[in-house]
Amino acid sequence: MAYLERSSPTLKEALLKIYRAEKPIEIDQHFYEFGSIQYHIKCSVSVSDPKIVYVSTSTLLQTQGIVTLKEISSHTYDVIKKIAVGVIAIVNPPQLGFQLTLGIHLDNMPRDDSQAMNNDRPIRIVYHPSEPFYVFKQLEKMTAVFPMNFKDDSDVAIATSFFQELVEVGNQKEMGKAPQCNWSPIPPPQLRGEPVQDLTTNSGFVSFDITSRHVEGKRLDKTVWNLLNFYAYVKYHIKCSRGYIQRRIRTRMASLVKVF
Amino acid sequence: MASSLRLYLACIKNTLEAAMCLQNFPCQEVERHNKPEVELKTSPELLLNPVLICRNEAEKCLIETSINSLRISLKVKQADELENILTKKFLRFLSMRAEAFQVLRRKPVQGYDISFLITNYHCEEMQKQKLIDFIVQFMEDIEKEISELKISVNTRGRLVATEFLKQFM
Repeated sequence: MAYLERSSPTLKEALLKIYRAEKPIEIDQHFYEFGSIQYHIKCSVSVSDPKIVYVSTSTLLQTQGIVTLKEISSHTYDVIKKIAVGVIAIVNPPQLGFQLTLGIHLDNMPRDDSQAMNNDRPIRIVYHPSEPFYVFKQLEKMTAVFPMNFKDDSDVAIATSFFQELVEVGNQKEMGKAPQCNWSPIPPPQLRGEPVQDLTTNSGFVSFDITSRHVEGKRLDKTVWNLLNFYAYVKYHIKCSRGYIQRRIRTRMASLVKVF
Repeated sequence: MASSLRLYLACIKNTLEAAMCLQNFPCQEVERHNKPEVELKTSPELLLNPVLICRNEAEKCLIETSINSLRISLKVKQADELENILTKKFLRFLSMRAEAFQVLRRKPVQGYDISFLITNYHCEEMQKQKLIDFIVQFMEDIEKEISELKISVNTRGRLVATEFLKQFM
């Protein structure tokens, strides 16, 4: 039984060649398949033009010697649009003599998986429901960003004082081996484009810079565990601090009342 | 104690000594009623001019006097969010247990953090000097307590932060 691949081998080969090329290469290629399907791949190298490959195609229906161009249905357009948003775009109007022209934006195309992180799109991790945090990779380090939200005003005040201390302690010399931590009221620029509800906080953003030494051998487990439970840690601290404040107030009240 | 605080407290003390000349005075409007005039403000002839003593913008003390009662309202310094929360918590806790203090008002006057209401009955039951000393001592204690609380909350935060970062090392 003949096995016909759905994708055109020639087209695939040409696209892969462009994609894998170290340096941008110039291609302008016409070819036919099955005698009636025409392709045109065009990729030009110029400074003004970003890396876009134009692929045009048309199906020529030969009926009784007259060549007619078949209309493409709107449904087909919808399907194409959904394939890869941001990477494949329909060029309108199509190239002269073709039914459809697609612009493939190579810069937006994800590289293979291990390199996908290099694109430094932040990864959203939801370990505790309603408390997501973000992880993104930077040069030689990885950053975990925690958007901090608290229900109560007093929680916010205690947490704020805790974060200030955290940053201060982290900057001390003897803590040089611990991850660098930062606290800021505005989200880091890398989180631009994330959902707004994640980026609106009442106690700012805490971030930890994890370097390779924090994930060596046995440390990896501990680091991951600590980061996953950072929220719980802060919440427990707040709870204990509130209890402590209450206890002190109570004893002070007892001493004040003694006069009467 | 900082000298400005001593002066502030001395001023309040002197004003209270002068103002605390209360006498029994039944209500003029309603028969068999005896209410603190400073609260009801039924007739202007029974009220004295209120005295406002300010240490700075954030710390002030309002003393309102009438023939049979005296109201002292305090505003406590709140330098930052944490102090603000601690002051609120502490003074709310005290106001809710006002019956233990007898002279404490359940609700502070608007714009102030805590208020006292002293009537002629209080002056009769307790020694006037002791009462004044209590108010002054109370102000001093509150200020001390808030700053101590703030320091210890920060210290706790520091220790907890240190422990957290130590886990990575």
